Amino acid sequence: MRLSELKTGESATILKVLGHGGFRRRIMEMGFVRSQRVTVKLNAPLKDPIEYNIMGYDISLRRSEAEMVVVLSDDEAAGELGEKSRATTETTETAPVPETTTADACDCNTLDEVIRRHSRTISVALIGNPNSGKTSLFNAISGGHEHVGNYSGVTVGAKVGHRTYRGYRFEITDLPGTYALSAYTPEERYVREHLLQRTPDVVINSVVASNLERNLYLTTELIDINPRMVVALNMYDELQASGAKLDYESLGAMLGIPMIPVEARNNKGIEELLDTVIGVYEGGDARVRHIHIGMGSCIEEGLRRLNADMSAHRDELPKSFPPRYFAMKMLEGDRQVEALLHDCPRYGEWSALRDREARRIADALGEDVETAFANQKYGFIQGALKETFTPGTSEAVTTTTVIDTFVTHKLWGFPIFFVLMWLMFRCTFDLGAYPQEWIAALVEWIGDAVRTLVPEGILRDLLTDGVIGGVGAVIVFLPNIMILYLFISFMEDSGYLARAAFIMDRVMHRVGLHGKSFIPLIMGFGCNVPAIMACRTIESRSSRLITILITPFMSCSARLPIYILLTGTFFAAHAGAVMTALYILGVVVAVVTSRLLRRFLFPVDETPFVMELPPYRLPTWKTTLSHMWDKCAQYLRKMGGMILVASIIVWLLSYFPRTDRTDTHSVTHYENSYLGRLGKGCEPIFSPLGLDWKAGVALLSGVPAKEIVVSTIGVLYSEEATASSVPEAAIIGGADSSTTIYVADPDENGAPAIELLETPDNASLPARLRASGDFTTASAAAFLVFILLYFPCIATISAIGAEAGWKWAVGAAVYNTLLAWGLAWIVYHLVALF
Amino acid sequence: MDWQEYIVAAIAVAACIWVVRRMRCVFRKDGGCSSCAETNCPLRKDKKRR
Repeated sequence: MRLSELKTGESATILKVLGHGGFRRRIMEMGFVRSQRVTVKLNAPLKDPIEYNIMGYDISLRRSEAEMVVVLSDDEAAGELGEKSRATTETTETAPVPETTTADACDCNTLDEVIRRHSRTISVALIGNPNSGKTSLFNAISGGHEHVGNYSGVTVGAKVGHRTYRGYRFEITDLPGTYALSAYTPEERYVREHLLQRTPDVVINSVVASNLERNLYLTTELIDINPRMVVALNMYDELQASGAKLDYESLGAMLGIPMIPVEARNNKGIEELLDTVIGVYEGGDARVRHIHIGMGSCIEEGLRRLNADMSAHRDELPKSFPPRYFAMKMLEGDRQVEALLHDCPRYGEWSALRDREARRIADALGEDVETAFANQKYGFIQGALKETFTPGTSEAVTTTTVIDTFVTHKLWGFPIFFVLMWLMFRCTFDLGAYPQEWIAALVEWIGDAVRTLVPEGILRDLLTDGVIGGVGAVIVFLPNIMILYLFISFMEDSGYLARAAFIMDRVMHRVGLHGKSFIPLIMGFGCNVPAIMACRTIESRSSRLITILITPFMSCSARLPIYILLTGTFFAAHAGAVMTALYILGVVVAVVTSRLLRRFLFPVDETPFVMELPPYRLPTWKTTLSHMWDKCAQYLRKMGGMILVASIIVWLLSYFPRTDRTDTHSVTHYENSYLGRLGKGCEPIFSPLGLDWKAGVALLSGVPAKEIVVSTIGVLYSEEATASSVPEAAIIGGADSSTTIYVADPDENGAPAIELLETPDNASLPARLRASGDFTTASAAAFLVFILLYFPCIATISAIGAEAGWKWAVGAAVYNTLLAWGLAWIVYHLVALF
Repeated sequence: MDWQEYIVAAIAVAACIWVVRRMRCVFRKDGGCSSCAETNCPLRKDKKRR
């Protein structure tokens, strides 16, 4: 808890002091240091200031200052010691608790040990430019499996991990990549907000060692804030490979920050980094010192005046950042800082002083204050690097340039992109077909085993028709999903996806968007949810909104099982072409929707953007396979979660009420079940599309997750008479009990056609679908188009609601469904003509 | 009811409880992932905090 939360008369032990260096030093000099006892003597009538007794004397602190002191109250300490003694007396057998995952368990016997445990928890914030390896560093430190992509904007929120090392518990927060700490982009505001509100104990600034000049700009911004900081010189192997030399000890000494070379991808330098973080946290690292980056005499004069007044009234300022930082940001006209300080009593004077000084600086230097600040900082960086850095031959950059010559070429760029896309989808479907058969055989074997082992009854029906029929129908597509994600992961990690966005920029402009919108749209082919969240990196509000709204038209991997099932069943000779047409249709609808939105709702695109092109990196097989497996593990978790539960519920609705106990698989039984009644109720909506109640029920079941459509079809067609739609009179007998021959309508020459049908006992789902007669080619095409376009899954709707607002989420659901119905109707009637 | 029906009834109740619990995600202020198995699901984060 914080010192400000203690009530009059309560006592506590100090654990740590947060805030910027100057504030912490001042507070600690007053005696507020770790392990000291402090008692609240008096709260002033308006609860500010508060009088404390510490080290035998009385001292007053403002409430805002007391909020920056973390304490352990006597009640909390007693509670923790009490829990420990309760745990040891009541528990006779306890499983060993892993060191890295116990957040709440206390192995402490005395108050000193409790204090020691709390004060040995270090909160660390990982900050750096996009593509500086923060997430790799995060994974290397915490052992997490967070996704790393080689393009800007992969980390769109903060991820938290932890690790225990040398008796210290590290709580690491991986923050979004930013180039600076202004208020320009959502990521910058997010990072600054995190530093202001959460005040981490130590900041690890991830800096790309081979690109110091650009990366150190953020370091200079962090120096202004004056947190306890360590610089991780990431990808140090690339610097060495280029032949460059960096005297990082001297550079660190100049900046007053310890610098540690690391290779996060290869797990090198991590322990040295953690040792340094501990040293900085404990105040024992001699390399740490606070410097002021000189802004030149003209700017310094203005800063001095504003800073002097702010420092004199520092009690009014937030304690997380030093007064000089606020002075700098006010001079720059930072809106977020102005909003933060707006309620300060001296704000009016500061604003007037700022306006005067900003005018004077602009007149003297011939440029605005923000540009002047940036130029001074880059000058500082160049000066520091001139003394400590010797450039090499930059071979890695040369390789990137050579590849980019082709990949971003105005003639060859597009064909290369389309070939890669074709290759990706071709491999997904063709290569995936082989393991698909094996998994299907395994599922069938499991079904047979259950039928053999479990006595006949409702439980056996649930297991075979519900669970195996439902989940089995979806899990066979796991190989296809794996291959698709393998390609997407490789493209992300290598840096190609950023190039694809670059070459598509002109095309995207015709659609009313930026090239930066291209990456979320491509991600949407995997899953719409992370694709929508990745839209946060788009600075322009209108472009961000449009991209979010058209992402559901990117046919996600959840729809892949449905496409493969229906195209393989009803368009066997042209399955590939039909699936390609579906994906293209989704893209076309997205383009049209984007243009309509841009024309009628968002005519103005507010913000220019910078598209980063990171150097190419050959991802390790371990990394790519790890990412692929993460996605597949997510797919499998879905199997064991939502898909399994949905299959059970769909089966229950199709099984009850039990009208005919001897044949729960007859069409009559299904029609009279709850599911059938629901489907019949919706049939008027779907019948114009050539779809019956079963197809309608399958479509409705796709609302929680699209994979459930296939599992519902698997349940509904689990075992069914194939001749249900064939008139009795047409059956002329069968050679054995497993086949039926019937006379179909005469062909165009008048000769009777004889068709051989398999009975459903051992037939595959496609065969059962074909034999049921419920779908024609036209209605199957309409079904596919409807699946492509209609109501996105609930997770996608939630993501749209979270990112854009619930009004847009509901609007998207309604628009998508109406559009799906309309286009499916057109497709149905068009295909029926042939 | 025989033993199979008891088991199926228990499974049905568990499934309904699971669905209701997941539907909470839909009504969260910060959105949620009511049907996908993202490791950053707010529901999971809540459990970890507790």
